[in-house]
Amino acid sequence: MKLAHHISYRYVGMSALVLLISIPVFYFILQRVMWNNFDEELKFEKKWIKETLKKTSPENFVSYNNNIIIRPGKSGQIKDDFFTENIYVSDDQETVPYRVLEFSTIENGKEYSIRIQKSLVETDDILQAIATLQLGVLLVLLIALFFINKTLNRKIWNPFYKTLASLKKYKLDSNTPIHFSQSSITEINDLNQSIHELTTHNLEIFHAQKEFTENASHELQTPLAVIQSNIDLLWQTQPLTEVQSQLINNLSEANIRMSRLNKSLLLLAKIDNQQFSDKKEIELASIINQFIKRNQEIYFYKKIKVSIQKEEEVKIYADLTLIEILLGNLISNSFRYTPENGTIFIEVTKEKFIIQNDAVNANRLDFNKLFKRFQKQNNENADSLGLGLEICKKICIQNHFSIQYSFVAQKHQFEIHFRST
Amino acid sequence: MKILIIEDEENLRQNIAEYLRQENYVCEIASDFQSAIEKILVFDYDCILLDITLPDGNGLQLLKVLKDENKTDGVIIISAKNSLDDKLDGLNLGADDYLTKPFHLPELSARLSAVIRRKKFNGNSIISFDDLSLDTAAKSVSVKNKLLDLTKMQYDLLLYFVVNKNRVLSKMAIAEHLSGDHAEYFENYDVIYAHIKNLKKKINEAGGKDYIKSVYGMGYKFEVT
Repeated sequence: MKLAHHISYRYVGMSALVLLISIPVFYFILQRVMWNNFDEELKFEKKWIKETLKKTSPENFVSYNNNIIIRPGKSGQIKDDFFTENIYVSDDQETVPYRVLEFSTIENGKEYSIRIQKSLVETDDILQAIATLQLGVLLVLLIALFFINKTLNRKIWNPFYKTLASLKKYKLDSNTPIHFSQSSITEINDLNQSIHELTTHNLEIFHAQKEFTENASHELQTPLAVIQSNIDLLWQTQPLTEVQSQLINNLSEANIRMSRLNKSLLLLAKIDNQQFSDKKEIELASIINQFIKRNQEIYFYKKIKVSIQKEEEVKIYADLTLIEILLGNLISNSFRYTPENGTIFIEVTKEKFIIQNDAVNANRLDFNKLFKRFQKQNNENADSLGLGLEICKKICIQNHFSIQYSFVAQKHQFEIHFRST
Repeated sequence: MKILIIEDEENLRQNIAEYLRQENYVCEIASDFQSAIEKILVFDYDCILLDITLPDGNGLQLLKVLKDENKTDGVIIISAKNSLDDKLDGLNLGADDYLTKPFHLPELSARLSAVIRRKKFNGNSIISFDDLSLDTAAKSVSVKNKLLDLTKMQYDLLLYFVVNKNRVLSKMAIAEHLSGDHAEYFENYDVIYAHIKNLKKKINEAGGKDYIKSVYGMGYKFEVT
């Protein structure tokens, strides 16, 4: 549920509740006030009756609508009694509420019980009218509130939703800080300002970190070169014992692995830093043929059979260096891991590139580990760096390709879709 | 052959010089931009090994100086930066080759001899000894005047051995050489073994000597007496 709705629903709900409670309460309070008024009037009338009774006889009391009834005799009632009573009026043929005061008094030595009554018809009508009016006004208010809320919400929350949308789209590695338009609402501006500062700061840290990776890799190249040159000279010192040779060999291998690792990390950093952005039309078939030819020469002793199925003139728009690295990695990987006399199948269409090779054993590669840094598969050569496929994935992501791995009929298959969905 | 090594890392500079001196190159060294420019303006070198990042200047500037002075010295850039832009800039400014650190000294030696062949002999150079002869222009090899049927890779491998003759070449150095600028690298030395075995077989079949000796199974040596 949207925040605006949350607030609106509570707003409207509370208003309705207050309305429902307030109307009867208002009605009863008003009624009480009216009755008090009548009671006051009745008391004045009582005073006047008592005064008049001292001078005249009760027979002389003629009142409008027989509102004063004086009967001689005891009623046993000493205190004043106010109450409301419905009385049938024969003239109108209906029952009408009356406010009644009954009391007894002794005037000139005679006892009287007296009843004064006043019709409440008009006051009731007024009360009802007031209540209806109030209900009407409140209802109109409620409806107005609802619509004001709705339009205001749309207006007020609009910048918030804009902020939210740009946050959703935001990617740290896209290298562009978020820009917000000015809002008239302080809180939204505060929020935007904070987000802007946060993302700018993050971007700075991100850049610093990437720069560090690149610089560190660069700086490592020279000491690695020093080690390598010393190893190369050490190889030439004669005579070398077998033990010494083995030791130099180990050193050399470790150093080469480190150098390769460093170069791969540098390449990854560069892809991350978007340093390959020289995009142009690339004809895939010739690149693929070139790599196959090269790998067939390298792995001539494996006698691998390669079959290619391709559409005419498959062209994609990308950076040539990156595409060469991507296809080169996948093709040389498949040659490397195909057993002797195995087969490699390649398919190129406008939409996708598929490379499939026979597996050495029946183990499917662990998909979750496959494209991650330094994650080696259990059946993989221990000297492999585990960076090749991550580089492939990075290149695919940058070009909006999708890359998938599957294991079908004892074959490893990598599939690249040029237009990822 | 006279070589100038411009490199600010002392140990690396000395090691390169030592390795190349063993191959009968005359090596001079410069550790910074200023001393390098003095040497370049006064002397002619067959090849200059140039580090781009020097403490007091950019090595690419030296290429411009060479061009302005109409010098024809061969230049191999040795850089810690494996940056394509630097490489293209360097090659555009007249460098002959570009080698990224770290590298194997035998690889440097092979590149150096290739540059010198190209510069000095216009690529028309025939390397021959015993009954083996390499024509670097036609990229062909003959044993006792019989042409060997070698693949491009096998020719490359043989040339690498010949340039670094009487040197112990580790499998790793050979693998690096064969993988070149490409992403693939042979963690599995079966590849090297298979190629060398094949090469040896072809030379033997043509009646050549067994030049390529294996060293404790860890490397190879091309022996010419």
